[in-house]
Amino acid sequence: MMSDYFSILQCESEDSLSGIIRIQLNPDCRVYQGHFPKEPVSPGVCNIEMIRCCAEYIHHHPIRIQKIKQCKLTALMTPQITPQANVTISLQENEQGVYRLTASICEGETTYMTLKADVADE
Amino acid sequence: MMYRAEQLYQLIPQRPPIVMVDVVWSATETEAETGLTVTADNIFVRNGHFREPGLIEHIAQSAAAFAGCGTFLRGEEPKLGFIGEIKDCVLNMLPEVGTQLRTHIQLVTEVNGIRLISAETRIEGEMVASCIMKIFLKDDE
Repeated sequence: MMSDYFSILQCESEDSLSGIIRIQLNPDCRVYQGHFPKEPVSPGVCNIEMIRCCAEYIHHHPIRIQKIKQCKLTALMTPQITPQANVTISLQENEQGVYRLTASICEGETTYMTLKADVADE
Repeated sequence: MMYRAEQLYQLIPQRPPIVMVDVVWSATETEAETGLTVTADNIFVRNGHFREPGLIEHIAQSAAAFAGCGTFLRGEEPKLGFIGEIKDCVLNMLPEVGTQLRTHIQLVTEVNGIRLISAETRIEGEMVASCIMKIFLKDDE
């Protein structure tokens, strides 16, 4: 799995359920060789995976996405235009080990992605 | 008409390492059947399982290939397509390496280059994933 898509610069979190993570995108990640040749665009699904990884980082436990209620991709993101961004994570426990994840990727005035998903401890 | 492997490059703009469809079994104006065999070197495989982003990208590229069949038959280059929204997406399981995904894409509506599609992905008939996806096709300037 691509482990070099992004790196975590900073994490502000007061519990294992919510926080804001400052991330940096890696323009040299090989996914950009194919998405797209001559026009690097951060794949939406890689940003969903980045949110999942950030949620794991805050939650201190591996999680799996079971359902995506809604995911809106509201602006095109590229490592050139947006080298860094904030990933905001909020987990609400619905039942034992199952959570509603609400998350967003933003930088400045721009929101790149909002996500509402059901995730579970893995 | 069936498309396999690198013939698919005429239908979709994605290239390795993020090509997540390896066959289009059939396509009409309103629906398509696509597939992907999950290989160990797939960038979305972890610990022998095809993970969430891989499943969603497979569906997105199945929709792209479906749109590409139309442009290819008209002799045009595939258009860049971007996911605008994913809704009601259920990921029942994370397929193992070696399994073949088979996906049915149905066009729900198309307005001003925005396509709403529904997708169901199965392995040997068993439901793996389903979702509704809104896709923007970028027109050439």
